[in-house]
Amino acid sequence: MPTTVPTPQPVPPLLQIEDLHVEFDTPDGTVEAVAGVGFSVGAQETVAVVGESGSGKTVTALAVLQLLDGGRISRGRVLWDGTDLTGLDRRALRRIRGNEIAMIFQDPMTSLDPLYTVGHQIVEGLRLHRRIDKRAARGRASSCWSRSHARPAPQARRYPHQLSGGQRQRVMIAIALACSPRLLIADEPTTALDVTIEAQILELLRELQAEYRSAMLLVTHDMGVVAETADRVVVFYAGQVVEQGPTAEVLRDPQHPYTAALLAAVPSGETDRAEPLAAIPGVVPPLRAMPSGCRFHTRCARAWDDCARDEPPLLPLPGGRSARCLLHRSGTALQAAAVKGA
Amino acid sequence: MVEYVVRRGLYGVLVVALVTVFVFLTLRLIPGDVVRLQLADAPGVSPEQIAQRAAQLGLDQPLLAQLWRFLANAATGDFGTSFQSGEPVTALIAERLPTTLQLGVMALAVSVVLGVPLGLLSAVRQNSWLDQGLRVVSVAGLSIPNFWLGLLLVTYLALWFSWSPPLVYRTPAEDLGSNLVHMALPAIALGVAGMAAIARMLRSSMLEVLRSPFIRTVRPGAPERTVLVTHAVRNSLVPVFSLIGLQVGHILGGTVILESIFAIPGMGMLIFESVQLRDYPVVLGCVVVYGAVFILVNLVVDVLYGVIDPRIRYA
Ligand SMILES: Nc1ncnc2c1ncn2[C@@H]1O[C@H](COP(=O)(O)OP(=O)(O)OP(=O)(O)O)[C@@H](O)[C@H]1O
Ligand SMILES: [Mg+2]
Repeated sequence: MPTTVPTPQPVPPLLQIEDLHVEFDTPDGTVEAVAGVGFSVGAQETVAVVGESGSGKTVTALAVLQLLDGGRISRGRVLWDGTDLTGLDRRALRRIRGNEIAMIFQDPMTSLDPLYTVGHQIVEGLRLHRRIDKRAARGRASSCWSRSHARPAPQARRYPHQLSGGQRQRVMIAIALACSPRLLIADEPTTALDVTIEAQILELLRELQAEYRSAMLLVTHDMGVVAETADRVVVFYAGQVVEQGPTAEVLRDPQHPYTAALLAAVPSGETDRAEPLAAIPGVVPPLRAMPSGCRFHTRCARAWDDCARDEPPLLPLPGGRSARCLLHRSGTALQAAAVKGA
Repeated sequence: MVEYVVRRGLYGVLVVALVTVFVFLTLRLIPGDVVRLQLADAPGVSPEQIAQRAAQLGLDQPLLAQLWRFLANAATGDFGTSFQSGEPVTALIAERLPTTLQLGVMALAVSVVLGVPLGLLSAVRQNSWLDQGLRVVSVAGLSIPNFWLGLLLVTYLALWFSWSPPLVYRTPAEDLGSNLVHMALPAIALGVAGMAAIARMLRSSMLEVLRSPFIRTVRPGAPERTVLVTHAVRNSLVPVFSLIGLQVGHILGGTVILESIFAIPGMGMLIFESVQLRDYPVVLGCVVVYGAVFILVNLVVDVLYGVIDPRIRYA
């Protein structure tokens, strides 16, 4: 199939983020929290976004939905089904948000309105998007509800404060999936929950995603979750994508020193308990004081002189992968063709 | 819930009793003697006459005996008779209470009806000129004493518009128009502080709610109006609600001076006059009623609190 656009997928992706820059005005001046992020999510695909705290994962997710509070997209596009969301008016956005793209937030404790029953909140979400009457909405809500295993009926009359964190997150999932969105953005949906509940919630997400045939953009810290859930993984560092590719390959053979360091920091079954985990030395540079050249070079074990000077582009690698590292620059044909969106 | 109300009611009775004792004792500390105030003008009053009058009023008894008798009678609903007119205190209060309640309700209405929209507007239009202007108005409203505001209103309305409130008070039954016009200025003077307090608090709670994650949950797909009205406003009114109970206290206190300034024959004026004449039973009766109204309103507010906010438990 001949295409003029060098995308890795044969079909145009559902969501394509191109060269996204997000700025915030702070009392001490403007900071750029996201600096040229680009990646895509195909239909029914699960893409994981990983990276340290503060690397811009949440800001990117919010930017996709045009929900930035106090920030603005200073450059770049967010293509949804070929339409640029950054230029849409509120009304058009509303039709897409919640209906075609739904989002689940990090903190289930505060993501529900404390004054309404959870059942009401699921029905409300439905009625806003589907022109259906109350009864139909209730029916659909209760089926979503039982699908999300939040236990049937009586729970629907409860208020958020009467539910546990896991149950609330199930409610959030029910709200998000009630309209069977084509893309579900889940921003660390399980960080606030304990490990057993986390596994259940992730399992539920996978199940429902398969049932509703949604794509999923899963933001997480957890490499284990990535390995179990994602088709592809996008690694963030300091507001940029440093590596992306199919999950299995990236985890097996990381092409960016940062990814390698992240993986080394994950405890695995084989690791000798006595051996300390390899922590990444140093801290994420503050937004206001980004190092020149490669943003990771100050912490990188494999950095050399060039790294402080040349900013590496996101270089395409074989197998639909790419990495933002000068290690891959060395005189190959790949050098010229920086992946679109980087 | 019922248990909660009963318990709060009993506490309320206790508080009113303590306040009564306190006021009873402080009244006696004010220099001035009711008998002398009453008889001083009469020429050639003999000490025997004074003693006789004091005995009539029960003032010859030891202080604690008087206090005990007052409390015991009050418990049966008998507040005694006015030293001045000899009328039963309950009758005096019954006659004046409706006027004061009307004034209080009007003042509260000024606070709420103006304070709520102003607070919401300044939150939704944060940092606009409107918000800035309202901030100035609120600070002024909170810091100007209500009686002074009342005097300013009367003075400048008279100076600039040659308008002054009716001289003679008419009950709503006699002349509703005149009554409302008469009550309007004191109600505004009493309500402005509450308006300012409500506007400030609502602004900050609304801003906080607008930033909370659950607004982000609904905002993506909902029209702005739905987000604001059904979620943001309702949530931000919760903390403001308790302010209303406190406001009633300020308003009740303010009626004493404002009714006197505007010649409104309510309980405030009754207290004012009775204190001047050292008419102890009337003052105490009024204090009990004010205390009871305040406690009752706050009980109602707290119960309604639980209705609007499901997180509240009565324990
Ligand atoms: N409203 C804001 N104003 C100013 N700076 C902001 C704002 N929101 C986010 N940032 C900055 O943007 C950067 C990226 O934040 P973001 O929340 O996207 O990180 P994250 O990758 O989601 O981290 P975490 O894993 O902790 O959730 C941070 O440095 C943060 O300080
Ligand atoms: Mg985040």
